[in-house]
Amino acid sequence: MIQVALVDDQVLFRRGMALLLRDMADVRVVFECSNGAELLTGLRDNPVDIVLLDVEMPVMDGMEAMKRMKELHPSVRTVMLSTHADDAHIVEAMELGANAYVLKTAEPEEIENAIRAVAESGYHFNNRVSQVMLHGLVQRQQVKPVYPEVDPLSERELEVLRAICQELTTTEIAGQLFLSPRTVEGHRNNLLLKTGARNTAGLVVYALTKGLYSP
Amino acid sequence: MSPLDLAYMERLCKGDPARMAEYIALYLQEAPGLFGALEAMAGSGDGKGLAEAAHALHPHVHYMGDAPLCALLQRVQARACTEGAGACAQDVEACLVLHLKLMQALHQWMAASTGKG
Repeated sequence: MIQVALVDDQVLFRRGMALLLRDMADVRVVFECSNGAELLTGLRDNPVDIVLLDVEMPVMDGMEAMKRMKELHPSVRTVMLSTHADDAHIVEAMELGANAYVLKTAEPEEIENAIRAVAESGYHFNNRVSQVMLHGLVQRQQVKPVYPEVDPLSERELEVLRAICQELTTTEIAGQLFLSPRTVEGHRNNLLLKTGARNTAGLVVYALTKGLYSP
Repeated sequence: MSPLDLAYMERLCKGDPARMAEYIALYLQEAPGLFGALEAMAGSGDGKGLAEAAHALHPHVHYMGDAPLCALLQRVQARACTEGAGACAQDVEACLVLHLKLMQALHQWMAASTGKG
């Protein structure tokens, strides 16, 4: 069961999301709240797997909340739900460690897919986010992520990294590379250690910026 | 011609009329306040506040499938940032007119689907 917290200052939006999530048998909304401060309070007693997080909220906005949440609850994953489609918001969210960035006006199916993908593989990149990351981060070099010098990645790790960039799940990667899912997870953890990336989204940024993968 | 296109709502609610009615009832309750905020920001000349109010409304109107009102809200948001609230007076007026039409259409839908109005 995927445990979810729903954070948006507008009750109308929360209700819409709750209607959507009601049909997802494997998802349970543990709590709802209306700003980042309430989220941090709620997480003290109500652990969740994923937070569906609005960007603009009073008291504490989504970006600040995500920053603090990553320190206090590093295992909680974040799906940013926003009305901002511009590069700056997407890049900022992904840099802060968002596991997915989905527009509030996205098709319900995409929102469902994002939640399931983040729960299973740790991230969901739609075409828009991939495009922004590729063009914004790599080609125009407006943002230059800093990575520690790393041990060279093994051939197998490179294969796993490229498969991650293709949005394959752990199970799919295992099938494609004839490995067990546990071995794939091991390679993924090594990749995180070697690159210094904080999450799977960071691995994708690393692959793109180092030219190890091109969509 | 009705401004309503509830195709998105149908997908959101998996075609369940009871759930659609639940959401639309909440929209009917909340939207006047949100459009009231839009009007107030325009009246006070607060360009940033007006842009934020228009921005906040956009997804809700999108769910109701009112494309002209969505487009107008996006224009208000963009112009309020660049040209200030004063430049948006006519567009805000037009938003309020479309809002009332949408509310009317939603009341009619509710009356037809639930018998409550």
